Amino acid sequence: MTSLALRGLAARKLRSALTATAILLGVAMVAGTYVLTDQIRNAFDNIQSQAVEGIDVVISPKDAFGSDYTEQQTIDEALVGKVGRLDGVDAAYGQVGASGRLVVDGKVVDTAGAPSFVIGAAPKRFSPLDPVTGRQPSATGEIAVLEQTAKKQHLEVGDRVGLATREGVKRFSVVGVFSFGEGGSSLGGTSLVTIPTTQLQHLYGYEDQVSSIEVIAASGVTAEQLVPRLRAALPGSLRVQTAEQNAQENADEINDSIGGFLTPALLAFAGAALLVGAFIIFNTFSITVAQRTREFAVLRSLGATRRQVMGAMLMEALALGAIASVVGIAAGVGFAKLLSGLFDVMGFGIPRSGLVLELRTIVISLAVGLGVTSLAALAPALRATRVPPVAAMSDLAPEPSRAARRARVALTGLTALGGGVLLAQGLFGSGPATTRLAGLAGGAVLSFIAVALSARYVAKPLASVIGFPIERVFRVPGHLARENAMRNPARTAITSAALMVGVGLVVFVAVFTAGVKSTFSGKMDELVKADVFVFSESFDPIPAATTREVEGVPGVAHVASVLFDQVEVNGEKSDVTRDTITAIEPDALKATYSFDWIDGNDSLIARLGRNQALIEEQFAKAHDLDVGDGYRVVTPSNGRAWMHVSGIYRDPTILQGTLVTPETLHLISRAKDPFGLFVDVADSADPAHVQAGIKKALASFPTATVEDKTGYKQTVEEQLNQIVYLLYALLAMSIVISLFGIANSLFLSIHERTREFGLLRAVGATTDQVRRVVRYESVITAVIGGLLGTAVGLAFAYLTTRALSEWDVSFSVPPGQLGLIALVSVVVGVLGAIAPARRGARIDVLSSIRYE
Amino acid sequence: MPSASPKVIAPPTIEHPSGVAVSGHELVKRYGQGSTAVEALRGVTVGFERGSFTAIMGPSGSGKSTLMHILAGLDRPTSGWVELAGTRLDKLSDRELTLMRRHEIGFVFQAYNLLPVLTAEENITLPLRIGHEGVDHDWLETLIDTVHLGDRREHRPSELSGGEQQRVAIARALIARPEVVFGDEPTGNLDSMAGRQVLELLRRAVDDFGQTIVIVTHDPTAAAIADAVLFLADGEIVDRHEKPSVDEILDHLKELSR
Repeated sequence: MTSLALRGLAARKLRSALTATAILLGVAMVAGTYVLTDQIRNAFDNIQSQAVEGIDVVISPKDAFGSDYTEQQTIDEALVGKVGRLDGVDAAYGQVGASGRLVVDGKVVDTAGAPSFVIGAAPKRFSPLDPVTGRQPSATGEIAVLEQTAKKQHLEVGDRVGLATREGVKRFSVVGVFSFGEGGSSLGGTSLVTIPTTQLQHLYGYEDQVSSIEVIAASGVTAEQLVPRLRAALPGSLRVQTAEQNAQENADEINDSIGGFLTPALLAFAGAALLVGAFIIFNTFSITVAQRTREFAVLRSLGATRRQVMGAMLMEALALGAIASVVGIAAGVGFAKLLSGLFDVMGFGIPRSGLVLELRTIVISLAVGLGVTSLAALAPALRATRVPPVAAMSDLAPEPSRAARRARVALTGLTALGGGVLLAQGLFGSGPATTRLAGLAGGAVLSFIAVALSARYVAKPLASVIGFPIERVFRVPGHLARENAMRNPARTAITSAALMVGVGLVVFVAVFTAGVKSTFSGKMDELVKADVFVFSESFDPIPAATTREVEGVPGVAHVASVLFDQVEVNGEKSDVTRDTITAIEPDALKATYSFDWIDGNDSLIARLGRNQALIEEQFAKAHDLDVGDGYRVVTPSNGRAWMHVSGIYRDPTILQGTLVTPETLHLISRAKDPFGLFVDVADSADPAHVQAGIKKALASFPTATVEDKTGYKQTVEEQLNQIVYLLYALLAMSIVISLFGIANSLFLSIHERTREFGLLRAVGATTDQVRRVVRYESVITAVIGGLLGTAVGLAFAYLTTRALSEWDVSFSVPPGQLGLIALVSVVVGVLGAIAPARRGARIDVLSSIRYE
Repeated sequence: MPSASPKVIAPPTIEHPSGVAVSGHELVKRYGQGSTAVEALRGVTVGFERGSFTAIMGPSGSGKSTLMHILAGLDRPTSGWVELAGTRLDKLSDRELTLMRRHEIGFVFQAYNLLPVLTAEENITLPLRIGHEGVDHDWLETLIDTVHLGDRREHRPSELSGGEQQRVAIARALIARPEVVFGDEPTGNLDSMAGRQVLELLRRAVDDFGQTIVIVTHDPTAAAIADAVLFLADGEIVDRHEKPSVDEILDHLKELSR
């Protein structure tokens, strides 16, 4: 029976290949996800461990908690000398690092999202950098550049370059080109330059401070021995680690922040692709079982047990799954490359090492491929066992019994119910985010399955309606296509369901982000009165000096410089969007922002005193605060304060968290550079004119972008679009897979209707007409999938916006994008039909009259 | 035979000394209920001796196919029972019935029903391989020789003519040396030449190997090669002829359809 199953696969090469492809692509996404994230992990491990080569111990400041926003903490430079004189220490060096972009030929060097680092030129024994040409800078105005950056920007020793600093662009002359680490590791698109440490401290606001202290132990002293000695001699606010520990911890931190988000996100898309693949496997096996009724009956009449029939079917599925998984793993390596390329294009310049194929990747991919395939084939295999042996003598296909039909209805209902419950729990429940997310994912999967199961009841009327215009326009081929699409609603339903998943998720993303955009846009119009906005394209802080420059521009009335930090409230785990503290000068705040008060009024702004805060509704709810209440905050840099609530306002979009005066912020936070400037233009001045003036005044701050409100909104929306496009690209995979599903289903139908197609030709249909019959049926099926997907996507988006009602996310349908998606469905239908239509047209006239 | 199916080896019921291979007792088959009920069989009792070749004939709707399906254990009677190889089929579970088919029943279908992915020889040995049983190579060679397929054994069904396919099917039906081989219009899809060859083969199976064969057929030439012909009409056995000639059969059929 095993060889029978395998030979069956081999005999039906095309069908097997198409079916395998359906699952292969999903497996490739799973494997690719692991390959890519392993490459990234390896790269960061390498970078971090190479950065501390030759160093024994690293002393760094301790954060109260980790935050992505906060200005890095520093160590008093005087400690460097002290450490150097300690017993067991050979040498100590104060390392300083900052973000600073290169300016070449007047243009800021674009690193495609990767960081631009400036570090102090370290003595040879502390430096992980190897000279390629020239030397490390030693005098003010000298700079050395990373080999890759130098190559890309065509820089050589002796060239002049600019560097964006807090003091504006400063000119440097290139004295050296260096490489980092050995081959194999890459810094991605990262730009790295060195300048003299003292100049760095001056230009980036670190006078008499260092980022970390690197220590080389005296001979005979190990790093492990030195660590406790240093700990004893240094203040408790410092962390003392062996260089290895420090490198590992830094790498883990980066990997957790990237991998912790990237891996589950990518796997979610792989999951969608696998779901589509499962539908296709299910459909193919269902059709195959129906077509092979005779074969199973013969086997049964020859004495095969039900279990043997079941086994043969599952064996076929497993063999298919195994082939698909193995090829899928290979394809996964390609997918990882594709994804890397996509990330680079999208501007996430993440470093990656060479190919990493861990055993874990292979095991998981195989398990997923085999599991999904055999699970999807289970129901059709069961149906195969129900074929009675007597069917070998008659052409009667066994009608599903009433019990089976009832079981199906019950199953559909249960799936829908389960999906609904999980979705509700995920959207409106109160559990931790991870269980809610798992609930959402499970709910979405079950909902898709429920819709796919119930689609058989609506496929016929839908096919009839969609086919109507086609029949009117394309006459006979259209008529036949419409009838064909209607005659096996269950098959049409499942085939279209494969497309439904991809379309559903695309529609969800489109509608949801349209809602987010329109909410942001609406809130900007409603709450922000500023006329001009100054910010960095990467939404990093801009130098504080820009505030003074903008204030000096004629026609500028107020400049709100937005300082920002994250806090931990009353010892609870900090939420990155909600638990924030924003400081704006009261006069400027009043002039650029209009409050939507819940408890309070505008007079509070001017009266806002030290340690008093205006808090946003969500913050108040989360920490159960009312006006007059107090709460404790801690910043990552260990600033602590007792705050009082002066007023409560509503704005979950732009100024979230809490608002304080700059004076209060400076008590607890090291934030020195604003994330942006909101500029209020005097009534008497022309905003466009003033905007041009600001642009001119900030000429030496090339990272600062100047826009009016429309431009600012557009920039934010474009940032969002970048992510949306990435999501679309990942979802495209699901849609491509469903294309294979449609093609496969059509092939099977044509195979079944060989005699009909032969007859069509016999009565005088041209090959083109036969092709059109197939093509239109395909389009009808695809459009059903598009419609179902749109309905499901809209429902998901609606539910999600309802669940996020506290964030004021509106439900807005983008008609243009939905139209585009409908068009995509038609295109999928046409593409999916190309090969099957050709097959249909090749059918011999004789086959209509030949028996068997 | 494997030890996996002791019930088939040693049936719990009493061995028939008379040498009846398969017998039906008071077989009634009713489709539907109440006033719309149709009786396909109205109490048929019939036995087939070991080593006999019987043809069942009758007009469409006479119940001949139903009778064969029930005798072969493919369908269950509304009442009455079938005894095959000394075992009452109505007492068997689905699994036991399956094993019964595997070991004691052979089928020859009108549409041959060979598996397209297997070669001729593999199709012949399929019933044994389903049961993970060893192939008796002498027996296989004898059969292949008998059905004249020596040079076709590695061919796939699509490479064989209809007559050749049906000969493969006959060898397949005989490979497990079943108690009974049932034939459902075995010549129905064949031209007269190929049909004759197939009938001769069936005849030889009875004469040379002592095989019991029961076929349902419309074809008087096919029926004429049998030892006996049963005539069915309206769900009842109306007549039985020993060794009738083609003309006798034709006359009788005319009478029945009158």
